[in-house]
Amino acid sequence: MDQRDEQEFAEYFAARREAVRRTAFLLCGDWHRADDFAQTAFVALHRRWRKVRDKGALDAYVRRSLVRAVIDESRRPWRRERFVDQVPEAPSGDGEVADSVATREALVAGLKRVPPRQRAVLVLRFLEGLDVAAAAEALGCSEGTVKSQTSRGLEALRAALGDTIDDLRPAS
Amino acid sequence: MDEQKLAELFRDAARDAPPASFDVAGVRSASALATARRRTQVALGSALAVVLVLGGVVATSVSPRSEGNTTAAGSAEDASSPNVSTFGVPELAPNEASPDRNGGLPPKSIPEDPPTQGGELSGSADRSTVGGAPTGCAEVDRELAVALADELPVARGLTPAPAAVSCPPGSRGASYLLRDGGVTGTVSVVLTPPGELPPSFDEGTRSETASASGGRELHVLSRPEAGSPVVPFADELPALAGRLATRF
Repeated sequence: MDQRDEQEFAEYFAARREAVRRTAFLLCGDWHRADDFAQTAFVALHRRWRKVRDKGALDAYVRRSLVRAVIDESRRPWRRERFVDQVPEAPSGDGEVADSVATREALVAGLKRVPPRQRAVLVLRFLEGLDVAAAAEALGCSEGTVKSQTSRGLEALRAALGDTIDDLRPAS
Repeated sequence: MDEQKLAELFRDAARDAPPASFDVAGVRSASALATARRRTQVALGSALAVVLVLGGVVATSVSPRSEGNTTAAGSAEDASSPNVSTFGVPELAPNEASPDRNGGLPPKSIPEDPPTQGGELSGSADRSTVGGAPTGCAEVDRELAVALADELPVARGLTPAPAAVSCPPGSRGASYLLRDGGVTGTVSVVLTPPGELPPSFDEGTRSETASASGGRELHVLSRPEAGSPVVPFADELPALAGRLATRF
Protein backbone atom coordinates (compact mmCIF):
# COMPACT_ATOMS: atom_id res chain seq x y z
CA MET A 1 0.00 0.00 0.00
CA ASP A 2 1.18 3.51 -0.64
CA GLN A 3 1.50 6.20 1.97
CA ARG A 4 -1.99 7.53 1.48
CA ASP A 5 -3.58 4.11 1.83
CA GLU A 6 -1.57 3.46 4.97
CA GLN A 7 -2.73 6.76 6.40
CA GLU A 8 -6.36 5.98 5.65
CA PHE A 9 -6.04 2.57 7.18
CA ALA A 10 -4.43 4.01 10.31
CA GLU A 11 -7.30 6.45 10.69
CA TYR A 12 -9.89 3.72 10.27
CA PHE A 13 -8.02 1.49 12.69
CA ALA A 14 -7.88 4.18 15.34
CA ALA A 15 -11.57 4.90 14.95
CA ARG A 16 -12.80 1.32 15.04
CA ARG A 17 -10.35 -0.68 17.13
CA GLU A 18 -12.19 -0.43 20.46
CA ALA A 19 -15.57 -1.20 18.95
CA VAL A 20 -14.21 -4.25 17.21
CA ARG A 21 -12.52 -5.40 20.41
CA ARG A 22 -15.77 -5.11 22.35
CA THR A 23 -17.65 -7.11 19.78
CA ALA A 24 -14.93 -9.73 19.83
CA PHE A 25 -15.06 -9.84 23.61
CA LEU A 26 -18.77 -10.59 23.70
CA LEU A 27 -18.32 -13.18 20.98
CA CYS A 28 -15.63 -15.11 22.85
CA GLY A 29 -15.86 -13.93 26.49
CA ASP A 30 -12.14 -13.34 26.92
CA TRP A 31 -10.23 -10.11 26.33
CA HIS A 32 -6.97 -11.80 25.27
CA ARG A 33 -8.66 -13.91 22.67
CA ALA A 34 -10.80 -10.94 21.70
CA ASP A 35 -7.63 -8.99 20.86
CA ASP A 36 -6.38 -11.89 18.77
CA PHE A 37 -9.64 -12.05 16.83
CA ALA A 38 -9.78 -8.28 16.37
CA GLN A 39 -6.21 -8.19 15.11
CA THR A 40 -6.96 -11.03 12.71
CA ALA A 41 -9.88 -9.06 11.30
CA PHE A 42 -7.79 -5.90 10.90
CA VAL A 43 -4.95 -7.83 9.25
CA ALA A 44 -7.42 -9.28 6.76
CA LEU A 45 -8.71 -5.79 6.06
CA HIS A 46 -5.18 -4.40 5.66
CA ARG A 47 -4.32 -7.06 3.10
CA ARG A 48 -7.39 -6.21 1.05
CA TRP A 49 -7.48 -2.50 1.69
CA ARG A 50 -6.80 -1.49 -1.90
CA LYS A 51 -9.37 -3.94 -3.21
CA VAL A 52 -12.17 -2.64 -1.00
CA ARG A 53 -13.50 0.11 -3.21
CA ASP A 54 -16.55 0.93 -1.12
CA LYS A 55 -15.08 2.40 2.01
CA GLY A 56 -18.56 2.47 3.47
CA ALA A 57 -18.48 -1.31 3.52
CA LEU A 58 -15.37 -1.51 5.69
CA ASP A 59 -17.34 -2.11 8.86
CA ALA A 60 -19.25 -4.95 7.25
CA TYR A 61 -16.02 -6.52 6.01
CA VAL A 62 -14.36 -6.37 9.44
CA ARG A 63 -17.51 -7.66 11.13
CA ARG A 64 -17.73 -10.58 8.76
CA SER A 65 -14.05 -11.44 9.24
CA LEU A 66 -14.42 -11.26 12.98
CA VAL A 67 -17.51 -13.45 13.22
CA ARG A 68 -16.02 -16.05 10.91
CA ALA A 69 -12.79 -16.13 12.88
CA VAL A 70 -14.63 -16.67 16.16
CA ILE A 71 -16.98 -19.33 14.80
CA ASP A 72 -14.16 -21.16 13.01
CA GLU A 73 -12.11 -21.10 16.17
CA SER A 74 -14.98 -22.50 18.23
CA ARG A 75 -15.18 -25.48 15.84
CA ARG A 76 -11.59 -26.54 16.37
CA PRO A 77 -11.35 -29.56 18.62
CA TRP A 78 -8.80 -28.05 21.01
CA ARG A 79 -10.85 -24.86 21.28
CA ARG A 80 -14.27 -26.44 21.31
CA GLU A 81 -16.36 -24.82 23.96
CA ARG A 82 -17.77 -26.92 26.75
CA PHE A 83 -20.95 -26.00 28.49
CA VAL A 84 -21.17 -26.20 32.25
CA ASP A 85 -24.23 -26.40 34.46
CA GLN A 86 -23.17 -23.78 36.95
CA VAL A 87 -22.93 -20.10 36.17
CA PRO A 88 -19.74 -18.65 37.68
CA GLU A 89 -20.36 -17.07 41.05
CA ALA A 90 -21.24 -13.41 41.01
CA PRO A 91 -18.89 -11.15 42.95
CA SER A 92 -20.08 -10.50 46.47
CA GLY A 93 -20.64 -6.98 47.65
CA ASP A 94 -23.27 -4.40 48.24
CA GLY A 95 -24.36 -1.38 46.35
CA GLU A 96 -24.99 -0.33 42.79
CA VAL A 97 -21.44 -0.89 41.54
CA ALA A 98 -21.43 -4.44 42.79
CA ASP A 99 -24.75 -5.09 41.11
CA SER A 100 -23.51 -3.64 37.85
CA VAL A 101 -20.37 -5.75 37.86
CA ALA A 102 -22.39 -8.83 38.74
CA THR A 103 -24.79 -8.16 35.89
CA ARG A 104 -21.98 -7.72 33.38
CA GLU A 105 -20.17 -10.85 34.43
CA ALA A 106 -23.39 -12.82 34.49
CA LEU A 107 -24.23 -11.71 30.97
CA VAL A 108 -20.78 -12.56 29.63
CA ALA A 109 -20.87 -15.93 31.36
CA GLY A 110 -24.37 -16.57 30.07
CA LEU A 111 -23.36 -15.64 26.53
CA LYS A 112 -20.55 -18.16 26.66
CA ARG A 113 -23.15 -20.85 27.19
CA VAL A 114 -25.07 -19.85 24.10
CA PRO A 115 -24.02 -21.73 20.94
CA PRO A 116 -21.50 -19.68 18.90
CA ARG A 117 -23.72 -18.89 15.94
CA GLN A 118 -26.69 -17.84 18.07
CA ARG A 119 -24.30 -15.82 20.22
CA ALA A 120 -23.01 -14.05 17.13
CA VAL A 121 -26.55 -13.15 16.12
CA LEU A 122 -27.30 -11.71 19.56
CA VAL A 123 -24.07 -9.68 19.64
CA LEU A 124 -24.63 -8.30 16.16
CA ARG A 125 -28.24 -7.45 16.87
CA PHE A 126 -27.95 -5.97 20.36
CA LEU A 127 -24.37 -4.75 20.70
CA GLU A 128 -23.75 -3.63 17.13
CA GLY A 129 -27.37 -2.61 16.66
CA LEU A 130 -27.68 -4.27 13.27
CA ASP A 131 -31.04 -4.95 11.76
CA VAL A 132 -31.99 -8.41 10.53
CA ALA A 133 -30.76 -7.79 6.98
CA ALA A 134 -27.35 -6.48 8.04
CA ALA A 135 -26.88 -9.34 10.49
CA ALA A 136 -27.79 -11.82 7.77
CA GLU A 137 -25.14 -10.29 5.49
CA ALA A 138 -22.50 -10.40 8.20
CA LEU A 139 -23.25 -14.04 8.95
CA GLY A 140 -23.76 -15.09 5.37
CA CYS A 141 -27.20 -16.52 5.96
CA SER A 142 -30.84 -15.67 5.26
CA GLU A 143 -32.87 -13.18 7.21
CA GLY A 144 -35.17 -15.96 8.33
CA THR A 145 -32.19 -17.75 9.83
CA VAL A 146 -31.20 -14.60 11.70
CA LYS A 147 -34.71 -14.31 13.16
CA SER A 148 -34.85 -17.91 14.28
CA GLN A 149 -31.29 -17.77 15.66
CA THR A 150 -32.15 -14.61 17.56
CA SER A 151 -35.14 -16.27 19.14
CA ARG A 152 -33.23 -19.40 20.05
CA GLY A 153 -30.26 -17.39 21.26
CA LEU A 154 -32.40 -15.37 23.63
CA GLU A 155 -34.02 -18.55 24.92
CA ALA A 156 -30.60 -20.07 25.49
CA LEU A 157 -29.40 -16.93 27.23
CA ARG A 158 -32.44 -16.86 29.51
CA ALA A 159 -31.97 -20.51 30.31
CA ALA A 160 -28.33 -19.88 31.13
CA LEU A 161 -28.98 -16.89 33.35
CA GLY A 162 -32.22 -17.88 35.02
CA ASP A 163 -33.45 -14.94 37.05
CA THR A 164 -30.05 -13.30 37.29
CA ILE A 165 -30.97 -10.47 34.94
CA ASP A 166 -34.49 -9.14 35.09
CA ASP A 167 -34.38 -7.60 31.62
CA LEU A 168 -34.09 -11.01 30.03
CA ARG A 169 -37.32 -12.33 31.48
CA PRO A 170 -39.84 -12.91 28.73
CA ALA A 171 -42.70 -10.48 28.68
CA SER A 172 -45.85 -12.28 29.75
CA MET B 1 -38.57 -7.89 26.65
CA ASP B 2 -37.24 -4.44 25.83
CA GLU B 3 -34.62 -4.61 23.09
CA GLN B 4 -33.37 -1.19 24.12
CA LYS B 5 -32.57 -2.40 27.62
CA LEU B 6 -31.04 -5.55 26.21
CA ALA B 7 -28.76 -3.46 24.00
CA GLU B 8 -27.73 -1.41 27.03
CA LEU B 9 -26.91 -4.60 28.91
CA PHE B 10 -24.71 -5.80 26.07
CA ARG B 11 -22.89 -2.50 25.77
CA ASP B 12 -22.41 -2.37 29.50
CA ALA B 13 -21.00 -5.89 29.54
CA ALA B 14 -18.31 -4.93 27.04
CA ARG B 15 -17.31 -1.82 28.94
CA ASP B 16 -14.09 -1.40 30.90
CA ALA B 17 -11.94 -2.96 28.23
CA PRO B 18 -8.28 -3.39 29.16
CA PRO B 19 -5.67 -1.64 27.04
CA ALA B 20 -5.42 -3.17 23.58
CA SER B 21 -2.54 -5.56 23.07
CA PHE B 22 -2.03 -4.64 19.42
CA ASP B 23 -1.59 -1.47 17.42
CA VAL B 24 -1.58 -0.46 13.80
CA ALA B 25 2.12 -1.24 13.43
CA GLY B 26 1.49 -4.78 14.62
CA VAL B 27 -1.33 -5.13 12.13
CA ARG B 28 0.92 -3.91 9.30
CA SER B 29 3.74 -6.29 10.17
CA ALA B 30 1.33 -9.22 10.53
CA SER B 31 -0.20 -8.30 7.18
CA ALA B 32 3.24 -8.18 5.52
CA LEU B 33 4.13 -11.52 7.07
CA ALA B 34 0.91 -13.11 5.86
CA THR B 35 1.44 -11.70 2.37
CA ALA B 36 5.02 -13.00 2.25
CA ARG B 37 3.87 -16.39 3.47
CA ARG B 38 1.19 -16.46 0.83
CA ARG B 39 3.70 -15.60 -1.89
CA THR B 40 6.01 -18.32 -0.68
CA GLN B 41 3.18 -20.83 -0.82
CA VAL B 42 2.30 -19.75 -4.35
CA ALA B 43 5.96 -19.98 -5.42
CA LEU B 44 6.33 -23.42 -3.87
CA GLY B 45 3.12 -24.56 -5.48
CA SER B 46 4.26 -23.29 -8.87
CA ALA B 47 7.65 -24.94 -8.49
CA LEU B 48 6.01 -28.20 -7.51
CA ALA B 49 3.69 -28.01 -10.51
CA VAL B 50 6.65 -27.36 -12.84
CA VAL B 51 8.54 -30.31 -11.35
CA LEU B 52 5.54 -32.57 -11.79
CA VAL B 53 5.02 -31.47 -15.39
CA LEU B 54 8.72 -31.94 -16.22
CA GLY B 55 8.69 -35.31 -14.51
CA GLY B 56 5.70 -36.35 -16.56
CA VAL B 57 7.36 -35.20 -19.78
CA VAL B 58 10.58 -37.04 -18.92
CA ALA B 59 8.68 -40.16 -17.95
CA THR B 60 6.70 -40.23 -21.18
CA SER B 61 9.78 -39.57 -23.29
CA VAL B 62 11.86 -42.21 -21.53
CA SER B 63 9.25 -44.97 -21.55
CA PRO B 64 9.31 -45.86 -25.27
CA ARG B 65 13.11 -45.67 -25.32
CA SER B 66 13.48 -48.04 -22.41
CA GLU B 67 10.99 -50.35 -24.05
CA GLY B 68 13.09 -50.34 -27.22
CA ASN B 69 16.23 -51.05 -25.22
CA THR B 70 14.57 -53.96 -23.55
CA THR B 71 13.67 -55.43 -26.88
CA ALA B 72 17.06 -54.74 -28.37
CA ALA B 73 18.66 -56.43 -25.41
CA GLY B 74 17.65 -59.67 -26.94
CA SER B 75 14.20 -60.97 -27.40
CA ALA B 76 14.47 -64.49 -28.69
CA GLU B 77 11.22 -64.13 -30.56
CA ASP B 78 11.95 -61.00 -32.54
CA ALA B 79 15.58 -60.27 -32.97
CA SER B 80 15.51 -58.44 -36.28
CA SER B 81 13.27 -55.47 -35.64
CA PRO B 82 15.25 -53.84 -32.84
CA ASN B 83 18.44 -54.04 -34.85
CA VAL B 84 16.97 -51.84 -37.50
CA SER B 85 15.16 -49.42 -35.26
CA THR B 86 18.28 -48.81 -33.23
CA PHE B 87 20.06 -47.60 -36.31
CA GLY B 88 17.25 -45.34 -37.28
CA VAL B 89 16.03 -47.26 -40.30
CA PRO B 90 12.28 -46.72 -40.40
CA GLU B 91 10.24 -49.72 -39.52
CA LEU B 92 6.70 -50.54 -40.49
CA ALA B 93 4.40 -53.31 -39.57
CA PRO B 94 4.82 -56.32 -41.85
CA ASN B 95 1.52 -55.69 -43.56
CA GLU B 96 2.64 -52.16 -44.46
CA ALA B 97 5.57 -53.35 -46.57
CA SER B 98 4.53 -52.63 -50.11
CA PRO B 99 3.81 -55.95 -51.75
CA ASP B 100 3.87 -54.44 -55.23
CA ARG B 101 7.56 -53.70 -54.92
CA ASN B 102 8.62 -56.72 -52.98
CA GLY B 103 6.38 -59.38 -54.33
CA GLY B 104 4.72 -60.16 -51.09
CA LEU B 105 6.16 -61.20 -47.80
CA PRO B 106 8.98 -63.56 -48.57
CA PRO B 107 9.65 -66.47 -46.31
CA LYS B 108 13.40 -65.79 -46.65
CA SER B 109 13.07 -62.44 -44.95
CA ILE B 110 12.12 -64.11 -41.71
CA PRO B 111 15.27 -64.33 -39.61
CA GLU B 112 16.63 -67.64 -38.53
CA ASP B 113 16.07 -68.71 -35.00
CA PRO B 114 18.25 -66.44 -32.87
CA PRO B 115 18.82 -68.94 -30.03
CA THR B 116 21.23 -70.82 -32.29
CA GLN B 117 23.69 -68.07 -31.53
CA GLY B 118 23.82 -68.98 -27.92
CA GLY B 119 21.69 -66.10 -26.73
CA GLU B 120 24.17 -63.40 -27.57
CA LEU B 121 22.92 -59.88 -27.24
CA SER B 122 21.70 -58.65 -30.57
CA GLY B 123 22.59 -55.09 -29.54
CA SER B 124 26.30 -55.81 -29.57
CA ALA B 125 28.18 -54.05 -32.33
CA ASP B 126 31.11 -56.39 -32.18
CA ARG B 127 29.98 -59.49 -33.97
CA SER B 128 33.34 -61.14 -34.32
CA THR B 129 32.61 -63.36 -31.36
CA VAL B 130 30.02 -65.20 -33.39
CA GLY B 131 32.75 -67.27 -34.85
CA GLY B 132 31.95 -70.33 -32.84
CA ALA B 133 28.73 -70.98 -34.68
CA PRO B 134 28.87 -73.17 -37.76
CA THR B 135 27.01 -70.80 -40.08
CA GLY B 136 28.68 -67.66 -38.78
CA CYS B 137 26.12 -65.05 -39.84
CA ALA B 138 22.77 -66.48 -38.86
CA GLU B 139 21.86 -63.20 -37.23
CA VAL B 140 21.26 -59.87 -38.88
CA ASP B 141 24.22 -57.53 -38.56
CA ARG B 142 22.86 -54.07 -38.12
CA GLU B 143 25.82 -52.20 -39.55
CA LEU B 144 25.83 -54.25 -42.71
CA ALA B 145 22.04 -54.02 -42.99
CA VAL B 146 22.13 -50.25 -42.74
CA ALA B 147 25.01 -49.98 -45.20
CA LEU B 148 23.19 -52.18 -47.70
CA ALA B 149 19.99 -50.19 -47.24
CA ASP B 150 21.94 -47.03 -48.03
CA GLU B 151 23.24 -48.39 -51.31
CA LEU B 152 20.16 -50.15 -52.68
CA PRO B 153 16.56 -49.01 -53.08
CA VAL B 154 15.31 -50.70 -49.94
CA ALA B 155 11.65 -50.09 -49.27
CA ARG B 156 10.91 -47.98 -46.24
CA GLY B 157 10.31 -50.21 -43.27
CA LEU B 158 11.58 -53.37 -44.90
CA THR B 159 12.97 -55.72 -42.30
CA PRO B 160 16.47 -57.07 -42.94
CA ALA B 161 17.07 -60.81 -42.80
CA PRO B 162 20.16 -62.88 -42.09
CA ALA B 163 22.45 -63.42 -45.06
CA ALA B 164 20.97 -66.05 -47.39
CA VAL B 165 24.28 -67.93 -47.60
CA SER B 166 26.37 -70.25 -45.49
CA CYS B 167 29.01 -68.13 -43.82
CA PRO B 168 32.41 -69.17 -42.44
CA PRO B 169 32.98 -68.78 -38.70
CA GLY B 170 33.36 -65.22 -37.48
CA SER B 171 31.42 -63.73 -40.35
CA ARG B 172 28.77 -61.07 -40.20
CA GLY B 173 25.96 -60.69 -42.63
CA ALA B 174 22.59 -59.28 -43.57
CA SER B 175 20.23 -59.43 -46.53
CA TYR B 176 17.15 -57.82 -48.03
CA LEU B 177 14.55 -59.22 -50.34
CA LEU B 178 14.47 -56.63 -53.10
CA ARG B 179 12.89 -56.00 -56.46
CA ASP B 180 14.99 -54.85 -59.37
CA GLY B 181 12.51 -53.79 -61.98
CA GLY B 182 10.53 -56.93 -62.65
CA VAL B 183 12.98 -59.21 -60.92
CA THR B 184 12.84 -60.16 -57.29
CA GLY B 185 15.71 -61.63 -55.34
CA THR B 186 17.67 -61.63 -52.11
CA VAL B 187 20.75 -59.45 -51.91
CA SER B 188 23.12 -60.42 -49.08
CA VAL B 189 26.23 -58.80 -47.78
CA VAL B 190 28.75 -60.81 -45.78
CA LEU B 191 31.94 -59.65 -44.11
CA THR B 192 34.37 -62.50 -43.54
CA PRO B 193 37.41 -62.47 -41.25
CA PRO B 194 40.95 -62.46 -42.71
CA GLY B 195 42.02 -65.81 -44.09
CA GLU B 196 38.58 -67.34 -44.10
CA LEU B 197 36.95 -68.96 -47.10
CA PRO B 198 34.24 -67.04 -48.89
CA PRO B 199 30.65 -67.90 -48.04
CA SER B 200 29.13 -70.80 -49.92
CA PHE B 201 25.89 -70.18 -51.77
CA ASP B 202 23.29 -71.89 -53.86
CA GLU B 203 23.45 -72.34 -57.57
CA GLY B 204 22.23 -69.30 -59.45
CA THR B 205 23.56 -66.86 -56.91
CA ARG B 206 25.98 -64.27 -58.14
CA SER B 207 28.75 -63.07 -55.87
CA GLU B 208 31.17 -60.15 -55.91
CA THR B 209 33.98 -59.62 -53.44
CA ALA B 210 35.94 -56.55 -52.36
CA SER B 211 38.64 -56.06 -49.80
CA ALA B 212 37.67 -54.40 -46.58
CA SER B 213 39.92 -53.04 -43.86
CA GLY B 214 42.07 -55.31 -41.75
CA GLY B 215 42.37 -58.00 -44.39
CA ARG B 216 38.70 -58.83 -44.20
CA GLU B 217 36.66 -59.42 -47.30
CA LEU B 218 33.26 -58.11 -48.11
CA HIS B 219 31.01 -60.28 -50.26
CA VAL B 220 27.84 -59.13 -51.96
CA LEU B 221 25.62 -61.94 -53.17
CA SER B 222 22.45 -61.70 -55.19
CA ARG B 223 20.15 -64.68 -55.47
CA PRO B 224 17.06 -64.61 -57.68
CA GLU B 225 13.80 -65.91 -56.39
CA ALA B 226 12.96 -69.51 -57.25
CA GLY B 227 12.04 -69.90 -60.89
CA SER B 228 13.67 -66.67 -62.00
CA PRO B 229 16.83 -66.96 -64.10
CA VAL B 230 17.68 -63.27 -63.86
CA VAL B 231 19.86 -62.10 -60.97
CA PRO B 232 18.71 -58.78 -59.54
CA PHE B 233 21.22 -55.94 -59.51
CA ALA B 234 23.66 -58.17 -61.34
CA ASP B 235 25.44 -55.31 -63.08
CA GLU B 236 25.71 -53.24 -59.98
CA LEU B 237 27.19 -55.86 -57.73
CA PRO B 238 30.90 -55.07 -58.37
CA ALA B 239 30.49 -51.38 -57.71
CA LEU B 240 28.22 -52.11 -54.78
CA ALA B 241 30.79 -54.41 -53.22
CA GLY B 242 33.47 -51.78 -53.68
CA ARG B 243 31.43 -49.05 -52.07
CA LEU B 244 30.42 -51.20 -49.16
CA ALA B 245 33.97 -52.42 -48.62
CA THR B 246 35.17 -48.87 -48.09
CA ARG B 247 32.87 -48.65 -45.10
CA PHE B 248 34.35 -51.62 -43.24
